[in-house]
Formats: sequence, structure tokens, C-alpha cells
Amino acid sequence: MRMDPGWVRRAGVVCRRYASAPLLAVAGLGLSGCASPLPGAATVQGQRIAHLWAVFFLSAAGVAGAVYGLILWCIVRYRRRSDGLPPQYRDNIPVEIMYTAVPVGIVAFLFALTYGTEIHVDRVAPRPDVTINVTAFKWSWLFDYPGTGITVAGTPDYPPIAMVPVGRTVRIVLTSTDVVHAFYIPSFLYKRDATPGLVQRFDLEIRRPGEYLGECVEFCGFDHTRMRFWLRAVPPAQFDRWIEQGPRVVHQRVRYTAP
Amino acid sequence: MSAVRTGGRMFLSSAAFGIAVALGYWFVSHEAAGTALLGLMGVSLGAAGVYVARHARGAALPADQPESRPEQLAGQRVGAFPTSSSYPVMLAAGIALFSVGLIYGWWLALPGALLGVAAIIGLMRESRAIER
Amino acid sequence: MTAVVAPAAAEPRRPARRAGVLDWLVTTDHKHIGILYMATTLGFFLVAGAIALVMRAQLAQPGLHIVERQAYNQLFTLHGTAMIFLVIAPFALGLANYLLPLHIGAADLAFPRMNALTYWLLLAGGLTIFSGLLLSTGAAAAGWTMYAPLSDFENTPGPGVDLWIMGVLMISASSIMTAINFLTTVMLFRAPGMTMMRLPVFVWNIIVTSLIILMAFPPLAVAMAELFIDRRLGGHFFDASHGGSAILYQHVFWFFGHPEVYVMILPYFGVVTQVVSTFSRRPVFGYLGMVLASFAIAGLSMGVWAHHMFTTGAVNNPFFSIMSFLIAVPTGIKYFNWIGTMWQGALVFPTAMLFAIGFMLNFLLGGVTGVMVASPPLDYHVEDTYFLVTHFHYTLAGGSMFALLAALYFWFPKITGRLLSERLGMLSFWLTFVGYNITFIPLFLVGLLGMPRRVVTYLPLPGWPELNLTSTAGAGVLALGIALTMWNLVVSWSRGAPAGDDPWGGGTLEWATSSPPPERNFHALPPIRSDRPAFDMRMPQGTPGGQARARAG
Ligand code: HEM
Ligand SMILES: [Cu+2]
Ligand SMILES: [Cu+2]
Repeated sequence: MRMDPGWVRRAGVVCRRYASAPLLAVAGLGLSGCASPLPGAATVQGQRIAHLWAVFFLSAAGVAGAVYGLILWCIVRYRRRSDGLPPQYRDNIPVEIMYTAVPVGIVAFLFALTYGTEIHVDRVAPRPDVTINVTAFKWSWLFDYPGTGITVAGTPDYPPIAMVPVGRTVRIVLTSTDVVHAFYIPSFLYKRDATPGLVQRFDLEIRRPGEYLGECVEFCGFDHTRMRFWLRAVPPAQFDRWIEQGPRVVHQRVRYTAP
Repeated sequence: MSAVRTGGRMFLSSAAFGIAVALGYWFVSHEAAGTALLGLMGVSLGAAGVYVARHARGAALPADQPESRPEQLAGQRVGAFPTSSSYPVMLAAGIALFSVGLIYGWWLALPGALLGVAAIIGLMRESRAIER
Repeated sequence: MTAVVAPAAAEPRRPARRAGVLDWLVTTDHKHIGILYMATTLGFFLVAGAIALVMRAQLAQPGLHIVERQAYNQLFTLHGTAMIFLVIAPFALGLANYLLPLHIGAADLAFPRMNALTYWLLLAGGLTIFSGLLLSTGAAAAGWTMYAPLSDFENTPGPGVDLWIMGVLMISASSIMTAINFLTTVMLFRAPGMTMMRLPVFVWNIIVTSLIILMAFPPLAVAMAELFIDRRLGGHFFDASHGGSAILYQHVFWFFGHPEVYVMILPYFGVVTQVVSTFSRRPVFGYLGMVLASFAIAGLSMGVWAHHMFTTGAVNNPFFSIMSFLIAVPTGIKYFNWIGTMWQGALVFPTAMLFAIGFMLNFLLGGVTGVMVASPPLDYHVEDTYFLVTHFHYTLAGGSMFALLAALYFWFPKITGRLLSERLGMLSFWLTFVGYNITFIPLFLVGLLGMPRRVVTYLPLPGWPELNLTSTAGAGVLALGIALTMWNLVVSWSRGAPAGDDPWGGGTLEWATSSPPPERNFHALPPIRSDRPAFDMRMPQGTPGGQARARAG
């Protein structure tokens, strides 16, 4: 067709000549793409999630690899070579039964693992070591330590930094005063929605000291992006000293300068 | 098997499925919203299914006979398909004005409603002409 | 205004008259309406795609460079809303509008005037949603999910949300009418011999899609009505401080929202099936299994809605998890059907086939990541991060959008009588495919690192700026690929090489009539003895009886 400039035509020829090479390359890239760069799970619960992730990732890679292999095999092997009509069969009942039954098996296996993990992750201890009431509002967080008179409050410009002990069971009691938000700590691989009118409870057992970024991940309007917080996980003794400083409202004084 | 009957069965089995899932869901979750949604879905599909199934009796279409040929219909009337009508776009405009009028006020909703009603009357009269 | 009489014999072919603007306004011909649908949805596609580019440009580096917070919130809401309600789903319905009567040998859809109404309602709904941009308060900015109570009057007072609600109501009315029209047409207006088990797979998938629409869109209309009552008429459906429930909105919305994703994929499964079968010169492998799988998907899809609510802590996670896992099985069956269709075939790779293969490669990643997000503990980590955004883009953009492009390349010759340039097409495919994956693979990674969705910017944490920059660069390549196809459409519409009736060696009935088809679609129909009547007519040795005869002879 005359309307194509020359470079388009040349590129078209090149594309056709090397048709399957980039196809393979991109498929490979796609697979390695999900190779798990999970942030190291910093809680006991998160560790279980990370293990489950590993199983799912390998199963997914296996299934995807097999299916990609079959598709690419067809593309390479069954290119049209002559004008003859290929075989016109339409069914192969044993094969069809197999490709229905095998996925059912895989799925049952994955569900069993999921169920086991979820029970552990969702389990709440009868008597947690520390309880923190977390309230989400537009657009920051309030951490209240019941029985101590301590409150940590934030604003979008000054996100709160809440203290938590390492190695103890921390109960989070979560709610929202206005719209739906969500309490998410990537390093814990865990989140829970903060829904107005609902109170949610879950436990975290932190394994190592550190400062962990928290984010609101349920879109909540204008300043959703800046609705962040930090958890500062410290050894139990240090945490106790912090509590013993007595009732107060802690405001963050350092403006977080990032966007 | 006649396709109309297949259609009726499709609705009725979907209805049964909806109600079965509603019951199962209630049993495992005791959650009202989802149960109501599934149950109502089942009931309304059931209503559609009963309607279609009643009309399926005696509906023997040449389309459903595996050996029939297109020439069998030659010269027969197979349906009435108007090629143009100015009422659909009018009705849509009426509906749009009316809906936006619900936000901004009756001065917009009223003309929209009138336009819509006029279009519906037009459509009905046109239908009578097509049937003839 | 004419009763249609089946043609007695092959009539002489008349070239169709060129239609003026007024003709397009009043047309009730399914082919014209189909063209209107597809042209309009492609227009919205360009707008929504341009919005995506602006978002990607803003996210290229940390900081506010291109748009402000509230502008960004409007942008992702409009992008998502348009892609879902105005592009991927209605393009499929428009394509079916054009193809369904041709596929089953009918003269038109059962209710031509209602059909015209659905198109105009869709257009009006889309314009209503976008008209919010003209307000000083801006268009709706609460995400395409429009969660209450964020979308209520107290939190979002501007009329943008009201316009959004009305637009979505018009679109849902339009979809429901279209579904009724399709179902009636298939039940009553098939050509003699076109039994249900000889329907092309595309038609079966449209039947199932219509069924899903009938089950899912009424709840959407309910959710929208309740939202409007809360906003304007003093209701408290979703207001927890007055005894309402925010979770209720999520239930009703997702009762629609999940099945909607199958409305956006099943027709495209049908497209890919048809394209793969044609370019492999093989019948669809496992036809019955494929049809049953579509029904299984429809049924299961009604019971999985709350997998979007795993992190609320207010639903029965294991129930919704197992139901969601089970959907992977019928979806997987489709893949094996396609592979079985290509197996021992004679494959050729025109652009339509390349896009269909691109669909298979991309959608697979959407599928396996779908199994991951169906597992509640994994969802606790990835829900509402870019991992989720990328998962559904692999199904809807890498999947449906690629199949949409395959459909354009496959049926454009039938619709216009002209071929699209294959050279431009090939180039467009490779740019789109490579660009698409460069755009989204980094987003999987940044999602796993914890980058939330719906944020206007992000912290410069290790890896985040690099991954985002790569993604934005990929989006540029992708945009170039799409632009080439659009250019191809425009140029070939008037100047493409003549296509002839059947440029591909197609199997379904539309390839047995002229390009474009005449006013009532067919001058004469071939006998219908399988789901590939046009193929049977051309290659009698390929039919079951024919092959036996050939072997004996
Ligand atoms: C092909 C190029 C595309 C690009 C580069 C693109 C990019 C994006 C981006 C950057 C976002 C914003 C994410 C966020 O801020 O959370 C987004 C959201 C979204 N996209 Fe796309 N997108 C593309 C195509 C599509 C298609 C074809 C669909 C089809 C349905 C689609 C559906 C959505 C939806 C539903 C959302 C979510 C909106 C919301 O959060 O309310 N996108 N996309
Ligand atoms: Cu938020
Ligand atoms: Cu879903």
C-alpha cells in the first residue's frame, strides 16, 4: 500500500522475520516480573503471608510456564506450511476431562493452604499485651493507648509516629469517623479497612525494631495521598519507659518534607 | 429441542442456581444484604423463565430443525424491522433531560418528561403502522 | 417500515447509498447502530487513554509536576469510569450489535428501535458523566467505585457525583435493553438450520453476557438510586451515623461490579475464539466444553462479589475465596480450547491473529495474579496497591483491549469493504505489546513494595521512582502503538485496498455475504450444518462427511 512511508514497511518486514523472538523475551520478562520483591515481613503474621506468597508464586509460574510453552509450541510448530487442510477434529474427551480435573486439583490445594494461613493471620489473642485504638479521619490518624492517657495525633503535614513494642502481641482496634480508609503497613504485608460504624480488631506481633511506613490505601478524598503514619517499633523496655512518661498528647513536630 | 425452550430452561436453571446459592450463603454467612440480592436475583430470573417457558409451548421454528434449509422461508414474512425512526433519539434526549433535571430542577425535568412521553406515544403509533 | 420477506433467490447486488448526518440520527439498522457504537466507544477510548497518559506523566517522578491533587482524583475517576462503562463493555455490545444478526443469519435485531434507543442513551450517559468537567466543582472524584460515604453530599457536595450517578443510570438502562434485545433475537430470529448447538462461540458468549447483564445491572441501578436518595432526598442508606451502613453500598455495588468484569471479558473470549479458529483453519476445539464453561463463569461470577471486600473484616472470606478460585477452572478451560484449536492447525499471523495471541499471553498474567488476589491473606497485602491495579489492567487492557484491537483488524474489512494496512498493523501490534508490558510489569513490582493506588504522588523510597519512570516510558510506546492503529483506521476507511467478501477464509455466516453487507444482510444464505457454514460452503472436504468421502476417494 502506497500510504506507508518506507520505514514503516522496513519495520514491518523486520517484525515479521523475528516474530517469535521478542514474544519469548517478553513472556520471560513477564514471568520474572512477579519474582517476589516482597518487603521483608516484619511481623509473625506477615511471615505466614510471605510463605503463602512463595507457594502461590511458584504455582503461578508453573502454570503460566506450561501454558506459555504450549502456546509458543503451537506458534512455532504449526505455522502454515502448505495449502492442505489440517485435521478437522473437534473433540478429545479424555484430554478435556483432564484439563478440567487438574485445575480443580490445583485450586483445591491452594485453597487449603489459604484457609490454614488465614486462620492464623486473623486469630486474635484472648489477652493481648498492648492495645492501641486507631481512629482514621480525613486525612490523618489518631493512636490512643487506652488506660495510659497517651494519644498520638497527626495531620497530613505532620504524620503521626506511634510507638509499638517488639515481641509482644499488639492489638489494633480500628475505626473511622467519616469515610472509609484503610490501615496498611507494607512491611507487615497487612491491611484492614477502617469503616465508619464498624470496629475492627486484629493482632500484630512485630519481630524486629525499626520504623515502618503506614499508608491509607482506601481512597478517601482530597488528601488521601498524604494520609501516612509511622510505627516505631522498639524493644519492650524502651516502650514501657515511653508509656511511663505519663498522660499526654503527642504531636509530631517534624514536618515530613516529601510530597 | 426448540431454542425458546432452551432459553426458558436457561432462565429457570439460573433462577434455581441463584436461590440455591442464596440459601447456602445465608447458611454460612448469616449476612442479609448478599442473601437478599441473590434471592431477588433468583426470583426475578424465575419470573422471566416462567414467561419464556409459557411461550415456548408450540414454538417450533425452522431454525431449530437441523435439516431445514434457508430456502424454505423464501417469500415468507420473517419479521418487521423498521430501518429508521426519529423517536429513539428523541426518547433518549427526553430521558437525559429528565435525569439531569432531577439534579438541577423541574425547569429541566419537565420538558424532558414531556419530550419522553411524546416520543413514547410516537413509538406506539409507529408500532401500529409497522404491524399492519 | 417494512415487513421483511426472506429473499427468494440471489438478488442482484446494489451498492448501498451513502448515509447523511440525518440518516445516522434516525437509523435503526443494526449495522449502522453497531458502527455508531464502535466509533463512539473508540472516541471515549482515546479520551480515557489520553487521561491515562497524563496520570502516567504525573507519576513519572515523585512530586506534583503536572496536575494537582483534586485534578488527579478526577482524572483516575474519569479514566476508570470511561474505560469500564463507555469503552470496553459497550464496544463489545456494539460489535455484537453489528455481528449477532450476521452470525445467525437474521435481517436485524428483534427490536430495532429499542436498539437505537440504547445507543443514544449510552451516548447521553457518557456525555453526562464528562459534563461534570464543566462545573467549577469539577467532575466526580471518588473513584469509579463511587464508595459511600465518600460520595455522599457531606463529603462531596458538588453536582459532579450527581451527574455521574445519572450517567451510570442511563448506561445501565441501555445495557439492560441491549441484553433483552440480544436474547430475544437469538431465540427467535436464527436462520433455518442454525440450531443452538451450531451457534458461533461468539454468539454463545453474547448470550451469557446478556444473562449476566440481566442479573447484575438492576443492583447497580439500585445502588445508584440509593446513593442519589442519600445525597439529594435526605436518605441514610449508607450513613452509619443514622443507622445506615457503608458496607451495604459495597455489597450492592460489587454484586454488580464483579459480574461486570465478565461482561467486559466474555465477548472478547468469543472474539479470540473466532479469530484463532479462522487463522488456524481448524474448528473450535471442545465447543460444548467452551459453552458450558461460559455458563459456569456466569453462575460463579454471581457468587464472588465480596472478594473485593476481603479487607473490610465484615464478610465471610473463605466462602468468597473458594468461589473465586473455582472461576479459574472454567477460565482455564478456555485457554485449553484455544490451544486445542491451534494444535495441528495451519497457523498464519495477520495482525488480527497477533493481537489475539497478545491477548492470550497478557490475560494469562491477569489470570494467575487473579488467583493470588483471590486468596485473602495475599489480598491483605496487595489489595488497593498497584499490584491490584496491574492485575486488572492485565485482564482488561492487556486482555480485553488487545481482543478489541484484534476484532478491529478482523472485522474492519467486513464493515467497510476495505482492508487495514497490514504493515501498519504489525508495527502497531509490536509497539502496543511491548509498550504495554513495559508499562505494567514495573507496576507489579512497585505494588508489591506497597505503593497504594489512587495517589497523586509517592515517596522516593528505594526503587519507586525508577519503576514508575520505566512504566511511564512504556506508556509512551504503548500510546504510539495505539495511535498507529487509529491512523490506520482513518486512512484505510477511505483508501484501504478492497477486501472482497471473505479476505480471511472465515467460517461464520458474515463471510458469506458481501462487504459491507447489504441492507437486510444476506442476498442468499448457504445451508447451515455446523458452526462454520461459510467454511463448509467453501471447503466441503472439511466437513465431517466430506472428509470421510475424501479419504475413501
Ligand atoms: C492501555 C493503557 C492504560 C494505561 C496506561 C492505564 C493507566 C492507568 C493508571 C495510571 C491508573 C491510575 C491508577 C491509580 O491512580 O490508582 C489507571 C486506573 C484504572 N484503569 Fe487504566 N490504564 C490503561 C488502560 C485501561 C483500560 C483498557 C481499562 C479497561 C477497563 C482501564 C481501567 C482502569 C480502571 C478501572 C482504573 C481504576 C480507576 C479507579 O481507581 O477508580 N485502564 N489506569
Ligand atoms: Cu485514604
Ligand atoms: Cu471481582
